[in-house]
Amino acid sequence: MNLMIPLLILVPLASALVIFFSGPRANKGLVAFGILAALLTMLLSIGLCFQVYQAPSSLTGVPGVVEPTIEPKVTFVSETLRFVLPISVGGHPIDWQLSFGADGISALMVLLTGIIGFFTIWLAQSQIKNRIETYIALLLVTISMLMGVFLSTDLVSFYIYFEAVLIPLILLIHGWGDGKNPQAASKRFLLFTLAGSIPMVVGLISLAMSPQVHGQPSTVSFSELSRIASQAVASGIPIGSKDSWAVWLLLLGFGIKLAILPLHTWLPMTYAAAHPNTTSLIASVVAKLGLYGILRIVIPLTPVALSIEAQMVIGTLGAIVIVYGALIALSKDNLREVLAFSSLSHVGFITLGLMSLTREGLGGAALQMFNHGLITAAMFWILSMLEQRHGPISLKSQDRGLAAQYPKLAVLLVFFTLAGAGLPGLNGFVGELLTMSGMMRVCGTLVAIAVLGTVLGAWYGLRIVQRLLFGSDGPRIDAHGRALAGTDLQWKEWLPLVCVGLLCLYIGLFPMRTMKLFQPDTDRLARLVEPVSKQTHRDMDTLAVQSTNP
Amino acid sequence: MPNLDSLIWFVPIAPMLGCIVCAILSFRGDKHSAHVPAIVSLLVAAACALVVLLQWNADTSSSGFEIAEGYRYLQIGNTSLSLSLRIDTLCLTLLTVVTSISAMIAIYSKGYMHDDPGYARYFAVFCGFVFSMTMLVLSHNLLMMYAFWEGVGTCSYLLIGYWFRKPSAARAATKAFLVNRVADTAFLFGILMLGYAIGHTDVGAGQGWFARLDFQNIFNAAPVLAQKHSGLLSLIALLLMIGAIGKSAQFPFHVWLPDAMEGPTPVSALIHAATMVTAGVYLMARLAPLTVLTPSVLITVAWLGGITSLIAAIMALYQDDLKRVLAYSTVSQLGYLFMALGAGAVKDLMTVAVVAAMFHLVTHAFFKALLFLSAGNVMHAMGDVIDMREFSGLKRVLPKTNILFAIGAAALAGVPLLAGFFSKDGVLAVLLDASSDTMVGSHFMALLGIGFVTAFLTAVYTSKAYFKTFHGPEKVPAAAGHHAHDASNVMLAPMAVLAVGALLSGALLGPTGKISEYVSKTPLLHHHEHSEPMWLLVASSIIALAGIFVGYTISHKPAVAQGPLKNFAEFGRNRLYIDWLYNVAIVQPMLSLARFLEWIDTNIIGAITDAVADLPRLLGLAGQRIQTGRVPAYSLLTAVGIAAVAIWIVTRASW
Repeated sequence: MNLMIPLLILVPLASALVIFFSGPRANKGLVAFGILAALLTMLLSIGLCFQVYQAPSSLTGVPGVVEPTIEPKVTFVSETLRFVLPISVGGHPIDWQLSFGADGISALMVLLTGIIGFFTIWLAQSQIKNRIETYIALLLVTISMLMGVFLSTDLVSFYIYFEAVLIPLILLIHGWGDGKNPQAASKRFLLFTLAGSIPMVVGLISLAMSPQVHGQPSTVSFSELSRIASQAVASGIPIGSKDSWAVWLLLLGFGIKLAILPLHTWLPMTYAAAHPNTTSLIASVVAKLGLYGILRIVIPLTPVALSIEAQMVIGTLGAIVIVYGALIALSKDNLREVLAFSSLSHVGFITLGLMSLTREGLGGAALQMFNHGLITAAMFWILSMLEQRHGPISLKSQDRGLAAQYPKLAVLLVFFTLAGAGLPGLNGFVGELLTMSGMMRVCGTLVAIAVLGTVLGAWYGLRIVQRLLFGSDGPRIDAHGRALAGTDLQWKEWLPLVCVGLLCLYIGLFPMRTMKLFQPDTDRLARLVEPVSKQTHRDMDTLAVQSTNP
Repeated sequence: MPNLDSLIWFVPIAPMLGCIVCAILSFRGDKHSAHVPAIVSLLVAAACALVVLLQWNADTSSSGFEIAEGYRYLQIGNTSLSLSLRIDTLCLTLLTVVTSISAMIAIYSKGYMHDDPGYARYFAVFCGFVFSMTMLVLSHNLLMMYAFWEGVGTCSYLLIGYWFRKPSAARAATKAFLVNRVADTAFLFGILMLGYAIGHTDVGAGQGWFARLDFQNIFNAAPVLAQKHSGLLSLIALLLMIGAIGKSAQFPFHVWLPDAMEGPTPVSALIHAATMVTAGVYLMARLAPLTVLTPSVLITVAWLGGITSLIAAIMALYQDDLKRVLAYSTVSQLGYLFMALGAGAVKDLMTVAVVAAMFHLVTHAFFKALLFLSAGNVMHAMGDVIDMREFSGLKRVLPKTNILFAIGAAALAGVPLLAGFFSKDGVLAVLLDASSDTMVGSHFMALLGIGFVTAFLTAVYTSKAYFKTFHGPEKVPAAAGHHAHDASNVMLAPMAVLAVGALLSGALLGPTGKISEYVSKTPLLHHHEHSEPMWLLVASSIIALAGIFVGYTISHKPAVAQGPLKNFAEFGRNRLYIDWLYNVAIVQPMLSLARFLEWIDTNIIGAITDAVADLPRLLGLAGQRIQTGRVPAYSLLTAVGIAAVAIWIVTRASW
């Protein structure tokens, strides 16, 4: 039994409870305690990555044997907690056992949560002024729930954690937001995400019962379901109509979370209202939940229906949102909103990669989920530090010339802007290149739209840099006309940025080593879905056929 | 040759180390010693490049190229993209030019940039640029080339915006990056299309995505593609060409280069005259085995080059800013290179075209860098004033710079026996050869005419700028202070080296046939005997001397022209209104579209989703009406409901 996994969920949760119950009596100590808990969580997540990295694959790889596409390499199974769920449609009760596990993709997301979670809590000590211990406790709860989503190996726990993430987030947006109206924003956030979960839960239930079509008992386990799905593909069973509406329900649910085009309006509003420090966690990890759901559930469990029905629709939406988000980011003036729409645009690349259903695309999308998490979190941290010094940041006024005042901040802002714009040698490039390469093999038109995003991405990125950093030294007064102390970043502030920046550089220089963590998993997925997608896209190039018989 | 394989790695790695050391110094706030690691590393790189160049010359490898293995960058399935270096004569030629000129300019920068607050930052980005450029030149794979293509663009951005306090510099940096990015987008899409297309051939079918884009592979697959999908190949070549003309600032992408002069002058000399802007030419030369299969694209390239060389020469004629004259001159000369490359459209002329382009590229790098550094001396002495209306007759104030500028200007103008004379003649000779072709000869006949006109204009604006600056009545602007003096020796010494190159490189490389013999050893290029007619040499000598004379006569005339010529001058001074047109036709509509989408997003999509979110509440309101609390109403509803269910069951059963 592996204790790393339960600890990853329990350590942040338990320390949050400790903070809640100690109350405001020992303020200072509680902050330090929270930071320590987050640090421990981060170390655990790194440890988990190493375990997954070293764990041998349990799959045989013998040709002809149908194997699941989801294979947790490190698992935690509780013998004592075994439930029989009250769902027994068709006379098959569903056996649910509490179990967790991690494969490469989960480990990557756990790592992202650990890193971003720790640094967000670390930065809270300088960014958050009121009720900081409650803030940190809520962040810890969020982290714990996120870990639960990424570590769950069955539909039930996935759903429970997926929804539970919302509760602390609503409180965080509402309680510490400082935008125009955090109340409205948190309401919209709640409504949208809850609206998304209704179709999702129906879709999940139908997934759980789908094995009955093939004459097998219902199950909720990812690995079992994916084995059955692979079997169905291998034996060439034509898909029923049931599968296809399940796909749409699931995509609707996850689409709201990842803010796909017409369902995105909650995102900019939330980002504009919440404190940027909170937003960094939302944008970097929570916004990935929808993508993770597609990668974990939709693609492996309903591959045929996806490629027939929805692949091109969602892919097109992804390509459009790249350009759409970038253009709106170009015209917004409030830096929070600019970053919100830029995040939307970047997520479009990930969607594009996922919907290519190719080896390059899936691998690139998984990597880009991590990359974008790092870059966007760093941008929101920088924004938070700027707002602390200057109040709300608008790009409307002329060039502010902050580079001379804050040289360290300037270097870091330029660095992360270039990383976001996909500069080779930094991490954004690898992900974008792979997702576009993957889609190129399926549909060149969508790539033609997506490449426009690289120009527009550079445009709004450089606009931020020019408006904030360039120009003659700004007047050193704040919004209220007082002389500004104008201190550059303290070590407490630049430390997280430098750490994340080094990680970006490392991934940009040696992407292969990072990708080794999850590539076996995405490759296995690609081996399942590439031939399926080849059936619907006759024009797809020959590599797809190659990869079916490695 | 294991030792050459490892030696070649020193060429990019030395500047990379230099970059890292300078970056560390920059964080420590160094202002005095950052030039040491930069200069040392660049000299090492130049020495290594030179050794490989000479050794390679002696060696006759069977395949004509070597791959120096690096590390695997990305792996998908069983194919990987590795960072490896490809060595052949084409890249060695450019590599040597890049490293040697950058070493010279780094030495010059020590004098030019002294006491600047960002001294170490300057040298860090400078070395970073040389690293990216050498890797670009040595790429063995098109994707790797794209990566460093972006790298040089970013270094260029950082150096143009080096003096970030100047609003004009900030704008110029953004503009340069974005215009380049537009072209690079086409380039990237072309690369991806090429990978897709190669996957559909027998040659590429078994290979992974990245391996297909190795140059060798592209060259193998290109003939197959030309047979099966010639339209697709033309489209791909066109997209790749857009990337090339973007980086090389050719019409319609030329607008960024003159603005890029906001950067420090040594940067203008290195990046925006001698090296980075030639990357586009290098790309076209590198892909010659592919582009030779798409003559229509090559003719397009030739025409774009011809148009650019002509309009840039006209614009150069009417600029008052000395550095901008040189910038437009660079654009114009690069147009020459593209004209030469375009001549490859004619059967069997590709090798000669590539040789002519590379030859002019090499000589141009020397004399244009020299001219820019001389302009830098002028700027340095004049207290950062570079407007030619503000100073004149500087030959006594800056005696040594006067001589150096004169050498560079003479080489550019095409004075017989100097570097520019031979290489420009090479370009014209290729065009002449191409014009005798029966199929497309008429295009090249017209382009040859443009070449002659441009040669004349080049001589005019060069001599005009020279005589205006260094001759006539002595006038020094107030900003220069009282003791404007010539540059220090640390600045003059590297310029002297460049001057030697500007004087001799043409005569040593061209008529002796050295460069044509060397470059045509590149795989898939074949050596052709090629001779220049004597009358061409005589004609271009006469044109050059006539141009210089005209330039001299107009140099001290008042600038006001009469009648139609005045309108023309106004046109030239306003850059033919092309920048204005871009702003009105592209940038503003894009921003309007962005604002329109923003409006749509908040007022339509947002409103619709809000309305949908309101539906449950409205339904609830509707339901309230029924919940009257009266038992008879409830029983009625119940009865209706039961009846409906019963009817449904009955009809279903019978069906």
